[in-house]
Amino acid sequence: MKLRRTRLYVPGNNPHLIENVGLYDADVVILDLEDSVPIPQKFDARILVKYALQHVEFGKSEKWVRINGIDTPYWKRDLEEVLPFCEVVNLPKVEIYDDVEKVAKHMEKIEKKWRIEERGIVPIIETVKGLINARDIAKHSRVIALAWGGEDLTADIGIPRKKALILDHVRAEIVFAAKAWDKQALDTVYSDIRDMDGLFEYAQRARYMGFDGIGVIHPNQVETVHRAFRPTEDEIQKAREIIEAAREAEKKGKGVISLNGRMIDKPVVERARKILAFAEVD
Amino acid sequence: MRVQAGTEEKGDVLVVIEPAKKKEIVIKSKVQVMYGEAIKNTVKEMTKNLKKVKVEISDKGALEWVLRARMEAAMRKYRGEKE
Amino acid sequence: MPVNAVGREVPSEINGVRFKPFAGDMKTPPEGRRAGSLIRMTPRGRNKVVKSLKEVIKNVGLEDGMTVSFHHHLRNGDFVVNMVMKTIEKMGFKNIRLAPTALFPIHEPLVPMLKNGTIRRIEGSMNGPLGKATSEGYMKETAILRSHSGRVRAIESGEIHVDVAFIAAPTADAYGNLNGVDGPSACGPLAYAMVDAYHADHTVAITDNLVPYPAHPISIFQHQIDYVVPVDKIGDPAGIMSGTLRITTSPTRLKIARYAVKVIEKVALKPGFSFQAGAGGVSLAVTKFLGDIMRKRGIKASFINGGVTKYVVDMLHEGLVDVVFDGQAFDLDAVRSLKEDPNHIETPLAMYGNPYSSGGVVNMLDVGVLGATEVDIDFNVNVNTHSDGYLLHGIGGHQEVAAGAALTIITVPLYRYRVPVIRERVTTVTTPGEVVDVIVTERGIAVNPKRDDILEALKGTDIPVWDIEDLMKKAYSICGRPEEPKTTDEIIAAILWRDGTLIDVVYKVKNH
Repeated sequence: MKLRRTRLYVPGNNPHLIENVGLYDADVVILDLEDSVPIPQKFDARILVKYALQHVEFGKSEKWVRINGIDTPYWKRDLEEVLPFCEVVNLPKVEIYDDVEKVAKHMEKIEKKWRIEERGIVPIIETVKGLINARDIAKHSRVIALAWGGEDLTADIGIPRKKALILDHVRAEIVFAAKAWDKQALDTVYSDIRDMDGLFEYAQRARYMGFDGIGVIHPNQVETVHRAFRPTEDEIQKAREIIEAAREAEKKGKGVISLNGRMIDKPVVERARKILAFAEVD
Repeated sequence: MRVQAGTEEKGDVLVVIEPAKKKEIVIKSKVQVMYGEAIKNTVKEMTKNLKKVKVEISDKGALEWVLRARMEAAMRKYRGEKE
Repeated sequence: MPVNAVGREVPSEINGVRFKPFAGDMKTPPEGRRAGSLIRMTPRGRNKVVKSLKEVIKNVGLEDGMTVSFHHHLRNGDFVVNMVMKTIEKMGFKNIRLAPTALFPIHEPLVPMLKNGTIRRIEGSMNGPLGKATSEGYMKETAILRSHSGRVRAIESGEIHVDVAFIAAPTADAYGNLNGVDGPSACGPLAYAMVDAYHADHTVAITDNLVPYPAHPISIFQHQIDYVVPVDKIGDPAGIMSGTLRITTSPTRLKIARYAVKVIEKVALKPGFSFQAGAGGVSLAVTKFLGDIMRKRGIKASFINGGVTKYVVDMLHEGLVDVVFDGQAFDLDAVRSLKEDPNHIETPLAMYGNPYSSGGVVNMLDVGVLGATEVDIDFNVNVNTHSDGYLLHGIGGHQEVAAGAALTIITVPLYRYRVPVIRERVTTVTTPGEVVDVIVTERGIAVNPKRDDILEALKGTDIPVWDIEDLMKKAYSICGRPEEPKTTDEIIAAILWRDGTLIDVVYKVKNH
């Protein structure tokens, strides 16, 4: 299982911030061409990101690019420049299945031309319409995970972002939609970069809500989030016992896994695997 | 037409290209002594097919790949690419 | 020219004075006796207060070619150097030798005095414009740079004889008792000036806070001060104090600090240990993270040597350390603590790290954390020149802390804005590799091969340990190999090791 506990957003037109991205041990680095790049810099940023993907060391981090939305004139050009050099496309403002399909079609053309393998898409659900279609969107074969953003969504409903009481419901929807198709669910960012205790609590809450990771906006947040996503010793111990029992059953050719006299179902084994992956003791 | 790419932020480089009577490359760099030659070579190599242009480089310690990215952006804009 | 112990060619004479080549730390034994000052007499009733600088300069009998000195506790907020030197210039004196502890960008008005012959040379640290002007060849004679302790040694041995010491005093009484903890220009200790007060032929205190006799506490005592000159303002508090120094938020620098603290934890952290870290962004982070670990593990330090900041003072008042030795205060918290806490002790610079003494504080240091502009594959460190050859910084206490501390750690980024910090050969050697133990960068650390014990202690940690040459190669692969600075063969400055031997020289830059 690919860990995506942290995905670090880095502005796509700032070479000084980009040049050290590999040092921060984030599971994912997202070079951003969307919100952090002002319109007059879109052209420069796209080319800078293309070079960065080829020349900067990303260390352990997966290379993502957040392209501009399909409601802008930029997204095709973004893909044409950066797709050959990144691993995953982060696609903002997705509202329906066909949004993903449209982007996937264009990606396919580029992939054929460059003779490269298929890249994944992580749609960002940012509107009410997107949210009610999330279960459909997650089904697309290119989609490897679902992410969401709260700003436009709360604006859609007409409530202030900070006081919104609906967000946990939104989170639950995202998790259900993703998990129904066996995709990862990714929570949004915690924006107070000074408050590490708050960040820890936020990340741990995301984890117990079913998310596989959260977005981070500063490298200093990475370590805290990884700590928050680390299972407890108790969880790790139990998971080890379950995996051991599963191995034992397989060795003996038994169809049924049992531990301490109780039957263990497949999802429980899968959960144990996931916990050990998060514990980085795989 | 005068085009530019990049910024004057630290770690970045601003590239300006404009039409001129003959080819001219002007380099101002924070790291002139250590990398002035390297910068000039990169710019020369990348612009070898451009004639009658003035290329102005204001460098604040950009790495080679940054210089190349900014040069490519400026040259493509100079050739008329938009957005 | 002879080649010294770090492989640098150095002349045997500078400004007509003989200097020995650097032979290694503690390899050149001292000779002779300490130098003294003119013996003076002050009968009862003599008034030491003089109304103007002009008058006091007449009174002390300044002549062309003489040596005047200043201290730099007021740092980049200092008004005293400029006002005294402008008076000296106006009075028509020439060929003055300036022997400050350090000069800052605020002292740029001295640049024209290099050109018009008022100043023939500066023997002291130069940060910024004066260093630049010197690099460009505007100083008539050759500048000489010494570390804090090296300067003390030079004055004590008579290598520098100070004719007149001008001492900026944040608080003074009319009979010359001085301190730095009170007044609108408070700076904390007056440690740098103590050796001048003792060894100069004439001493002038300049103050903007004249208080009734006796001023107290007393840092410099009345029997060493000949004159007191009240002025409007000796400095700008905004330039004297740094405000609240902030721990770096740069993720790469924090990574450096974390690695450094881990090295300290594995190699040197034990009850009663001691350290010095300084006031740079990384150093503050090291101090804070170290404090966090000490608190968690219940370890108390015996002393912190400084460069004192709020972070150090907080540790003292929390009981994480018994004593703070203070040679320089960086913020008002440090000033207040020095005034109020008896365990916060003002240390004369003569006690800091002079190798020709009966032992400095640095000899008792377990850990010293220092910065650098460049480090090379022989672990030599440069803090004086930039990679383009320009002389832009003083030595500070770098040499003695590195030489004294049991574990010397240099914290540096691998490169800064394309300029590699880890290089094949440093532009200038300030501190030799023989006294440097660990280089810490954001990508990992390099350990001086002669310190097997450190490598052993670090086994099993997750700190990446590199060969220093590989760190250099990494820097060059990111930045490209830097070209050497273009210099002439004219020597514009000499860098002395703390014992007075020549460790390197700086050449005039070409085509500026």
